[in-house]
Amino acid sequence: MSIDIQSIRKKFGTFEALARVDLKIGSGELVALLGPSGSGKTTLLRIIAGLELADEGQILFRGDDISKHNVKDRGVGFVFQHYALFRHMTVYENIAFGLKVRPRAVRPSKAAMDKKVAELLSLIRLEGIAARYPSQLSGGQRQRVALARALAIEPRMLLLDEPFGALDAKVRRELRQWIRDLHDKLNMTSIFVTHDQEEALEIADRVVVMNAGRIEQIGTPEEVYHYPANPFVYDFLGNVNFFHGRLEGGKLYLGDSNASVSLHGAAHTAGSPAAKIYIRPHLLDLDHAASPNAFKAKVKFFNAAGPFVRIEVLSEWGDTVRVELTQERFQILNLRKDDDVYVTFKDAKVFPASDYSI
Amino acid sequence: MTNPTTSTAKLCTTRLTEPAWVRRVFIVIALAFLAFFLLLPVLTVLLSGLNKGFGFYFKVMAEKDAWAAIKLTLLAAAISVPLNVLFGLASAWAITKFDFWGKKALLTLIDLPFTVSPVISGLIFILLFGAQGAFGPWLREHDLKIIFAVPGIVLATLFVTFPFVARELIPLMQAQGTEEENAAVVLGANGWQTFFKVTLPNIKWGLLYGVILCNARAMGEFGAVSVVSGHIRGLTNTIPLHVEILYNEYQFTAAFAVASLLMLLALATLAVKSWVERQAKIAGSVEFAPKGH
Repeated sequence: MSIDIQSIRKKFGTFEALARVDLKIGSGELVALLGPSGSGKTTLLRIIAGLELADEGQILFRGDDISKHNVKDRGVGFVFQHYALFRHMTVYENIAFGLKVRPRAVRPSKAAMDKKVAELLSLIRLEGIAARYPSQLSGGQRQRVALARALAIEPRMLLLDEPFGALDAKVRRELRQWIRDLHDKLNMTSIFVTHDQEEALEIADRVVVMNAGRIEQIGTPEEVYHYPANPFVYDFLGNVNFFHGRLEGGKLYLGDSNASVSLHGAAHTAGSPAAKIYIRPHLLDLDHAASPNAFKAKVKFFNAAGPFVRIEVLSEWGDTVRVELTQERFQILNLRKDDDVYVTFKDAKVFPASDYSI
Repeated sequence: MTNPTTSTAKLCTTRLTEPAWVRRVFIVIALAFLAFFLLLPVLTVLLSGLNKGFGFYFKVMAEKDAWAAIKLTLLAAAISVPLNVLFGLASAWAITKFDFWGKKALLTLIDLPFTVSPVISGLIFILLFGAQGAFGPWLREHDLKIIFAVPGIVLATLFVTFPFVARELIPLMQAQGTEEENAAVVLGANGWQTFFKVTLPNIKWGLLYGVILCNARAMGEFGAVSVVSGHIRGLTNTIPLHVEILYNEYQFTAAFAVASLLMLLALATLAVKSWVERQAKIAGSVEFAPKGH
């Protein structure tokens, strides 16, 4: 089912949680709302569910304005950050709750309810735990029970608030892939909130990057990662180095130094010569020999654990710059602490300095 | 030279527990204090009440005025406890599940009966409903009697027992948050279903605990009730007031006999309270409880 969010505003006292947010979500999409805490992502999710009321704006489900509908009439499945399982009920009772509270006329029979719960338990691959209480389950199991409970009412869409927030790294990765597979199987419009960019980029069809109550960028994971719309998105998605600099005569001067590079393919900005330069650590390279397009730096620290080697170098003008090299490249360079090296740019993005500040 | 590992081990044991004699001294002090200030008075009340035999004991209970006092005490508790349960639930629900203007003021006001002397609590009602009080002339016109009558006693009891249930529930419901209720609503439950199926089961032990304390205070209240009662025998005397009257008339054995009723109530309250606490503990850690519904 498609969702159309039209200029939603929400204030908590004087704090503006959402400032005119517009967002269209297509039927069957898996969308991530990504942003730091306080960016309004959870508020937006709760407004879609009806757990909060927007001050202004409309929400259309498949073209119908449901802004004034009750929570219970919206037919959404909601998975809470801390699961919110009913602690005094067994797993069976938790999953069947949404069916049991229906008016008698539309309430399924006991047999139909048993069948439904059994189906859902096999869907979440937790057969045989129906009689247990939430406190007897692990975090990952609770999360899946919460999902089964949300799906029991056959919702029109699924909303997940930080679904993996409280889990350890390994369970998190497994569950993430499992949710993606489940989404493909059910083909249900789903929105999940996360502050973890890796999570959003890995499983979402589209990522909505939010900051301070506004949407900064909407796009596929590739779009938002490779073509960030502004410095905030650049900074929020993955590691990034940031320099002040100035553009003069087609050349980019870094820091307050005379070191300059001419960037191939970098976005040049007109007007003010002051610039902010963003570059991801894996788009920098190191070399022992000087070259016209490089600046000089000193190796301060490196860590070779993991698929890439993370190196910190100190530039001539005193900025710490993070560089990521492949293990092979690192072997060839044979770097040691306090070595002098030359840093070259493979790619970078330049924004006018007046634009944003982070 | 001593072995360094054994000396550290010795150090650890001395740090972890006190020497035996220190422990014994503390235990003896605690038990002696308990015996002198709690056990001795309880025994004195019981034995003094019984020192003219069981026959006299039951005669005192069956006496018309004593019986009237017992009935009035039960009536005051029977009215004030349910009303305070309703009020306690409503205010705890409002305070913990919603944000509204004046919430802090309400929280402070709930504590008021705990902070003022019971005598003042009684005087408030005299000033409001007494002959010279704000509503005095109006009440006389309509031939209604509150002060020196049963309604006054019920009102005073209601006032002093006001905070018990709310005070018990507010921290509990604050700790539990609103996510389970939100989950119930999203799943399609209406307000009543959410309350009876989700909220109430989560707070039932706390609620029961509040009811027990509320009831104990309702039956045992002396100060506030004494001010509004007028001490009319057989009409406006509760058990504590009846004890005082008997005592002032030098009927010591009878006074202690009636007092033992209140004491038995206190002991019963303690027994039920510890049972509730045990149940709540079991409910709080379901993994140790037997499975099944």
